[in-house]
Amino acid sequence: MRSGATFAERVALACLARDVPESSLESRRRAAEEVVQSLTALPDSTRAGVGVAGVLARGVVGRSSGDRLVSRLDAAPLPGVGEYLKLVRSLALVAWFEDAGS
Amino acid sequence: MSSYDVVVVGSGPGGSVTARECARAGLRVLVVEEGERVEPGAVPAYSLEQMRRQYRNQGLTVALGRPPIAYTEAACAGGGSEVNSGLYHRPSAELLDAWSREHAVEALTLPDVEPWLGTVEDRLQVQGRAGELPPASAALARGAERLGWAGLDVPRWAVPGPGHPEKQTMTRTYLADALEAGAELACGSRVDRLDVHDGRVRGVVVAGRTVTSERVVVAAGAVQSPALLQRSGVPVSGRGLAVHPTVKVVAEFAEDVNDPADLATYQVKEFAPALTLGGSASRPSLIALALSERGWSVAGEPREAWRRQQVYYAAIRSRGRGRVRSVPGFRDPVVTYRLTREDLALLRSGLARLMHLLLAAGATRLLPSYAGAMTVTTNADVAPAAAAMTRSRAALMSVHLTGTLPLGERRGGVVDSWGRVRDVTNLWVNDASLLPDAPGINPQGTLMAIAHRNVDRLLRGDG
Ligand SMILES: Cc1cc2nc3c(=O)[nH]c(=O)nc-3n(C[C@H](O)[C@H](O)[C@H](O)COP(=O)(O)OP(=O)(O)OC[C@H]3O[C@@H](n4cnc5c(N)ncnc54)[C@H](O)[C@@H]3O)c2cc1C
Repeated sequence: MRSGATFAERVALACLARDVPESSLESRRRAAEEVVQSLTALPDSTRAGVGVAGVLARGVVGRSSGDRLVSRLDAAPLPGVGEYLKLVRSLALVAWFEDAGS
Repeated sequence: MSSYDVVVVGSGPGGSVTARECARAGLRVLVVEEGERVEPGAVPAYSLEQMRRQYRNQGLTVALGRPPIAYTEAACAGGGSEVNSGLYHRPSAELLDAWSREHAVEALTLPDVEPWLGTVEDRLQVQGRAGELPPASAALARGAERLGWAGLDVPRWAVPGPGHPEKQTMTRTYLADALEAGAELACGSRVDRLDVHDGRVRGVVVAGRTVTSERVVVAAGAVQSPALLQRSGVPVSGRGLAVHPTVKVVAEFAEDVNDPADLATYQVKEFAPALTLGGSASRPSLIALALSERGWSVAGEPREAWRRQQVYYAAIRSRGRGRVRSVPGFRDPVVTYRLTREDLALLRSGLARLMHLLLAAGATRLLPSYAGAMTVTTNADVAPAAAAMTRSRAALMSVHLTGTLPLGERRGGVVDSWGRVRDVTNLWVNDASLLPDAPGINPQGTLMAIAHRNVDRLLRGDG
């Protein structure tokens, strides 16, 4: 769970750096932590699917981070990886805007 | 918790009507509710905090399919009434006649249901707005007027409050009445299954313990009710899930329109019941979410632009249907939905009509919420922008869930015309599952009137 959580945070941080580049790293970190919390609330069948997609996504991005990580996930042809990116990004955006963005 | 005359599973609108009427009739009533009790107004409307405390799975539920449809269910004392927009419609005579005919439902014409609609309207203080329309609603009204389209500011179960109107939720009305009449409410308690033996239900199982009851009424909502029956061994296919698939557009105006704590209550009904155009919750986070569906354009939006932006929707009556399946070993059911080709075509035409409406209303820029959508600034952009919403690009959602346990006398139906489960003598369903189809209007008023009608029958002993 812990390593999965870390990967979701990495993806969330990379998405927020692209979506709200003017934001502080601290606010992005807080939002990324919220993402991890939200992922645990998914219905269990969805959570299982997201877990698998997360493993695939990790394989796609390797050690890359930031914009490169996002671009790789965005372009990945593997099923589920695009949905994983979309889910983490939307959770991160909502968390960031609720916390810091209004 | 010990032994009761009636156990009601779920405290949403269906469950609260049932509990109130049974308690007022002098029965010992227990309402078992999985969610927590949150006082109305204690958390900001449409916020992340509300999602966390009052929605099932924090609102992150989705019906799988092509495209998937995101849907939300409340999970709190009062159910959906605590989080919803409070928009009230009476069902039309045509709708009720069609349901009666197609599902062989007894006594479901408008004259049958009308007295109960009146009871609901009185208790919930359903009323129209006094005074001017707020900007987000006024925009819809202006657009409709310019195009000569019919529309209305929809009445609500809300009374004027110090700031925003105070919605007359179940915890403020029916559930409060039930408790006053002696019903007990157990929040934070999930019914894992019903204890069914030899065609009778003996009670409900909560955390491994059985609470016994003479009768059980399941009112857990259109997804959870069939799932609970399935977990309890009652033969239920879970097919028939009917929703209003909805597509969204972010509209930008020259002036401020956004009230993050409320939404546009005006609806355009020119193409009803097939299509309804209206306004959605538009907190900055929800605008960002709608924009994120389009691609990586959120970064380009000026941070204060949300004040001039508002999310609007086109919602359709769908021919497609979904299914709820409880899977052994999983706590949550798996939900699927098949959108038909006609549904997709109707959604596209709904999106186009919505964009024409918003341009007529004076919007300077429209940002349809689907993958890769172009920005629309003139009427000439509308057709290509709507046509480009394919199955794989669409981002759909729904908050109206119905149809999984339709009432009626049709062969093979799980419940009869009054919500009684055919194979289990003392078991009833009384919630949105019973509506045979998504009605093309906001459904809570209709389901509450039907719930009244059913519990009246149950109490008269004819059920
Ligand atoms: C965001 C939103 C906006 C909406 N806006 C409107 C509107 O403006 N007008 C309108 O008419 N309708 C609206 N609706 C729809 C309306 O809220 C629903 O149709 C209505 O709440 C359905 O009532 P119900 O009794 O069938 O179920 P619900 O309201 O879903 O209540 C079911 C309750 O049962 C509980 N439950 C489920 N399973 C169990 C279990 N196993 N054990 C114990 N408890 C359980 C749940 O926690 C829940 O509280 C909206 C819905 C949403 C989500």
